[in-house]
Amino acid sequence: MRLDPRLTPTEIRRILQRRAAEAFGPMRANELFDLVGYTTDCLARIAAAPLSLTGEAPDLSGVDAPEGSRPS
Amino acid sequence: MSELWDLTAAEIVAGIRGRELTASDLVAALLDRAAEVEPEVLAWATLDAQGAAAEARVRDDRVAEGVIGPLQGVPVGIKDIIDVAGLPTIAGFEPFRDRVAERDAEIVARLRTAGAIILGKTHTTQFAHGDPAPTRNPWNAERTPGGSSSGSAAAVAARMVPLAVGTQTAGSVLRPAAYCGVVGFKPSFNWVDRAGVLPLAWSLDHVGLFARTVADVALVFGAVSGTSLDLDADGPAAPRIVLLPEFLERAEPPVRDHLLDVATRLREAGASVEERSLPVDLDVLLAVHHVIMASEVSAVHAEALAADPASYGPVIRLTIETGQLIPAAYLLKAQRLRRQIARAIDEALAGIDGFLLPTASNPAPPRRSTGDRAFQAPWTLVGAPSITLPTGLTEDGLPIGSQLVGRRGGDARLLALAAWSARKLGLIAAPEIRLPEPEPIAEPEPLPEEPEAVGAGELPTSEPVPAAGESEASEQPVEPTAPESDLPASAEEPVERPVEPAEPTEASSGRATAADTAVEPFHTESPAGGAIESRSDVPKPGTDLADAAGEADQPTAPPHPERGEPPEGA
Repeated sequence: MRLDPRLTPTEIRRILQRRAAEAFGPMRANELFDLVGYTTDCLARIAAAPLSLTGEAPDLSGVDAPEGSRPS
Repeated sequence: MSELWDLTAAEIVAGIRGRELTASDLVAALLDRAAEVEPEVLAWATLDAQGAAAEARVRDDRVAEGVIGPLQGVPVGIKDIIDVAGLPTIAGFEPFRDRVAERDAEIVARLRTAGAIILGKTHTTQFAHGDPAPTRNPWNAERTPGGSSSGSAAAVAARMVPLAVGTQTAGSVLRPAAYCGVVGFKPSFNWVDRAGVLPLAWSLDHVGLFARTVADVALVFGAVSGTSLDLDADGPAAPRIVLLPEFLERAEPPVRDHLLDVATRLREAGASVEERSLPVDLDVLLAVHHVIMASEVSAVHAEALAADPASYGPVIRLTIETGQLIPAAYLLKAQRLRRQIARAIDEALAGIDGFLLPTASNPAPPRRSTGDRAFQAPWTLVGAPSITLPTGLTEDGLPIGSQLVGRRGGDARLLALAAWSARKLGLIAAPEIRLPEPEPIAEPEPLPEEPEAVGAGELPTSEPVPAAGESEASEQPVEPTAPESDLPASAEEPVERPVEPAEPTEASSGRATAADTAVEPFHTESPAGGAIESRSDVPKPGTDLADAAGEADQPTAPPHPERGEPPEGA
């Protein structure tokens, strides 16, 4: 699925639901329906949030940083 | 002196320093207390009676030698995803029942070095996610204690232990602390090494603390982190606090009204409380948290789930599977946004002492859910310290928490603000636990002569004994993993929402009156001259575990995606 703010939530949901059916089967995909819906909403918000090309690098959250020294 | 089981950690250390009490007597008193109330609360996965008694004797010997650590003789409960040498780390996952830790987690080792005693392992939701633990809320057995650190919060509230350790990946320390009416503190990310803690989502997992006073969480935070704290000296004379309206708008009326009352009282006490919006879109923030957490939970658990799907709970299973659908580019953009959000929140906290907001949108909901994470997850996402104070009760006698948030790395400053606020507001008293009426003792019938049998009380106990609730739970039939929505509590529990907004009352506002009943004074943080209330009703006799399991599998209402709320749990 492409990262594109022009993708509508309906399109994102259709793609995720299809991927769920491929990965886990149609019955289980149906059981995932509600959480896939919430996740769709989250992905649409993330796609729509503006970031410049040279903006923030990913926050890897100091998993390997010494304790008490989380990078900011 | 109070009952030994009612002492705070600070009182215990003072008593041991003054040679007024021994760790051995204290542990014995807490084990007696647990024998009395644990069947109603089910907080313990493993209660290590023999190990704790032995450790207490060692602590007493050290005191005799003049060695007194900052937590000397203080018993602690440890969430059951954190390793304690010689005890199983079950994590609510049946295949781990015999997974005995070979060494202590780093947090446990530091607690022992400071003189603490490990009383046992407290129940957790499965792998610290959203499938409810067997634990009951000490204020009302039909309500959730919150999760995922359910047993840690409930054990402290029920005064079976003065301190407990938990973890938070979304809201798993602050939310159960608020629902159980205790102080919960989630320090800054990476404040202590997480070696020996089962991961849920590496970049979000925090170790956190439960106690009944701010002084106690500060005591253990200082002892473990090596931070020197002086809550009085570090405290602000006139704190500058920002009230966040986004959360008030999403809170249920009793919670919102209580928080507004708290803000008023803090202003009256000398604080500057200004209402100001978050510098970021809360829905985007929660979306970023969900995408990162679901992706990391999947990465931790997907292979184990594929190998043994029947052992996984329905809620965590939904997250593991859905997380695998998230494309890498979205995850990386979420991580870019996370950094941007964290910087914006840092800037908003510059020049002030902290944010003020409700700890949770609602009082404790029924036990089929562990509650709504939306009010705690933002601070987990950015690694900022947050603390909840038990400042009020609803009309139904359920605790309400007030949350303070500090800048990343500003843990000492946040604790000082919390101590100041607790002094001004007062904290609610611990709950009464209603125990079943004792059965009348019938005259024993004469028994026929038979070979001597080993009674239950005479069983060899060299091994740690699973707590009552654990053995009971293990005998329950395995529920089918029917689908359960991993959705906002607000969407799942429409029946919990009051039809009409409740009028603020003395109880719901947290203002105590002498007319309130069942007073059990809270220790050190009552405002001078202010009587601190306890609830006037008491828990109903507990629902049994089969009921809880059944509730957990009930289908739930559809989501409210327009509200952008995150799923429950963790």
